[in-house]
Amino acid sequence: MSSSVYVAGTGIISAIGNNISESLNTFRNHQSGIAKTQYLETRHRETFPLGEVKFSNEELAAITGLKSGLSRTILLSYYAAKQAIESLPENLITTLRTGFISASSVGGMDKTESFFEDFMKDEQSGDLRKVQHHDCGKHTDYVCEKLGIKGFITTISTACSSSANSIMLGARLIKSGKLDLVIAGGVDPLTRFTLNGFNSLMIVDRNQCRPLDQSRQGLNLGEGAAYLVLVSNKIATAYNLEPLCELTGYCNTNDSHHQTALSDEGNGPYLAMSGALKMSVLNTSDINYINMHGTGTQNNDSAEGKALVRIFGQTYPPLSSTKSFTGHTLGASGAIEAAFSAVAVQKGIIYPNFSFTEAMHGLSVYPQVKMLENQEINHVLSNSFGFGGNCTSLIFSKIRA
Amino acid sequence: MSVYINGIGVISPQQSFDKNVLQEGFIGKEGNKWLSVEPNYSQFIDGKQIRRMSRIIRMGIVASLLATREAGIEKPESIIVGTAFGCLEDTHSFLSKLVQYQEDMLSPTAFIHSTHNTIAAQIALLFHCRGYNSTYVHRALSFESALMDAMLLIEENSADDVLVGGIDEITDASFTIMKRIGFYKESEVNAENFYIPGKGSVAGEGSAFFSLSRIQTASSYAKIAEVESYSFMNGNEVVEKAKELLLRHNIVQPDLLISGHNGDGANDKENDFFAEAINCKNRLLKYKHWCGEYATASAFATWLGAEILKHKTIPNCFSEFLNPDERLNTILIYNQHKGIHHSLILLNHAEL
Repeated sequence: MSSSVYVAGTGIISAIGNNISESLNTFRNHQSGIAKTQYLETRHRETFPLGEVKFSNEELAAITGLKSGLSRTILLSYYAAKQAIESLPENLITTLRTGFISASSVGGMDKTESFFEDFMKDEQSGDLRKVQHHDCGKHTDYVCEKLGIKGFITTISTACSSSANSIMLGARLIKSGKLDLVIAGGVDPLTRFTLNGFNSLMIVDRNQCRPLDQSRQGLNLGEGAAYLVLVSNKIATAYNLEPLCELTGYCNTNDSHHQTALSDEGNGPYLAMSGALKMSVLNTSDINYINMHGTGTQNNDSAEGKALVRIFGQTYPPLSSTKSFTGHTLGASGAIEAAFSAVAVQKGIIYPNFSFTEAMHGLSVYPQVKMLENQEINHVLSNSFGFGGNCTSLIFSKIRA
Repeated sequence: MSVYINGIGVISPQQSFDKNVLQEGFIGKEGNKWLSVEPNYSQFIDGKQIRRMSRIIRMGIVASLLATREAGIEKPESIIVGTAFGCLEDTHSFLSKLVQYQEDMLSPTAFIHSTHNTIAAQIALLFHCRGYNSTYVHRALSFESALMDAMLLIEENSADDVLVGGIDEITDASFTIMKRIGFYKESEVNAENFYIPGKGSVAGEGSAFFSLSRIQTASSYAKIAEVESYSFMNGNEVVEKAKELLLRHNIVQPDLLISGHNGDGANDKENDFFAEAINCKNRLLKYKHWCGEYATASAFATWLGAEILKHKTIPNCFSEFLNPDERLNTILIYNQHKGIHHSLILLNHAEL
């Protein structure tokens, strides 16, 4: 008999707050975290507003006690992971069979960019300490060593669905009985590499992004990190943990259409959402809120909207894209939105969409525009889709009595 | 539960895309940068498509095709890739243009193909595969993580067959940087002096894909009994884990240990310690003098282990190391990196 998977803690940092309670206040006050960048050194500073974490590397280092020369990836990841395990009983993660699964799409690219400026002038120059942060697994190891986690540790990179997949893997490892507790999530810092990459694809909005809106012009990049503490129901009982909710469904699919675009009909999203619903043994009417992938690009929002209507018809539940507040945090977005979704179930919240005026033509999809609290929320669906056709949907549910 | 390897495709510094290499024997490599011997890609992929693909994508696509064809699979249900560094060539291309043109006038082509999941994505496109798709990027444990996930998919009945691979490429920039860091030897190395302890190893690369299934077929190579990876454990702790793993499978001693010795003194000391501790010093096969060192080289080792278990007589390429008539039933593959990452893959004869 496989066990249930509970969410026993969250750690989160993004442009809208350095923990859950700050993030909720930002939603409540309806303030977008997207603004002119303060820390990313880019020539596009005046052109593209970004969802930047409101700390410099030096400040993050001072708060965490880490060295400021580390990649922003490590600093953000450590900040969120440490927060996630704070509420756990002391020594729990070293007592149990604990795993750590992180995710990132660019790894320590912020440092590699800086290294390359020197390296390109002379291949024997450039500070090697910078480039040693390059690979996506570096931050994972660094954080685990600091937190004293050993044993099963890994890193996933499936573009913008990366950290939804680390949560899914964590749940599967607990269900299979291989691990008792998994800290799962992901991180991505703002980098010139990703900003210029998305800009070269002409899908970055020069203004505040407008996900799910007819007038949308693209995404705003963001940054951050989030981790969920996942445990089996047995562990939750044995250690008197107070779980937020249960992870009842998940599904990973591939759209198999194009390297950077979803199919018109949203086949991958359709399969991911329906697969997660099937696993949870839920009807569409059981879902009380959907946290959309909702990047603000023409392609994503239209494909996701079509897939949504294919599954839910016109009786879809309240939905929104929280990326309109945080920006698109790429490899971190799955976990950041999973944390929001888990808290939505715990506290009965429906999150707003920041900027919405007109529904996409041909699709009557209207997002929630004001934050709602004290709602009866039993099940929340969270979508994460990415380049390479990687689609993952997660469902968080009230713990069954 | 059993997971069978039913098809394998390998591109490596040996002519491994052609399985005749097993009888003809491996060649002794020379130098300190061992690139793959690549097939004529136009035999496998449409010419127009090839031109759009970087080397690592080509190596991934063709190894996938070889593995699935051999297994008789038209379309894999799930695709999982392990790659420590991903698409370095495209990453380097976009990054250097970004620096050169100071964030201006950039073409998206290299960026599009720079993400680590491009290989698994391109394979999914090739096969029109809408099933489970993931990419592991965890350094020396990237392939092991992918393999572990594949085994779990089959175990939990989420898939009947999974295509799983380990892949990494050398680029000029990565070679220069890793050499400066001290990963590679300064001197030229050949198969004869490969294991003379020094500092660093030889740059290798490769792509090895496996078609796994819960069903045994005429093409089955071996069974994967278990995959485990351990981070931040010391040698003694890993030996304990290995003994527990073997015990779970009622194995007193594996018939062969395939070990990741790479000519780096510190690395080989860890590997020697392990081999001795599990009594395998005299039943040891080292392989990195054939493929060089790279983060997903354990995928190459898994290919070798599978071939040794499949054939009634041990292929010629191993004649120096193994008695051709010996019947091997269990092979343990041990890989470690800097005493931080360790992994064990246990392969059993398909009939066991």
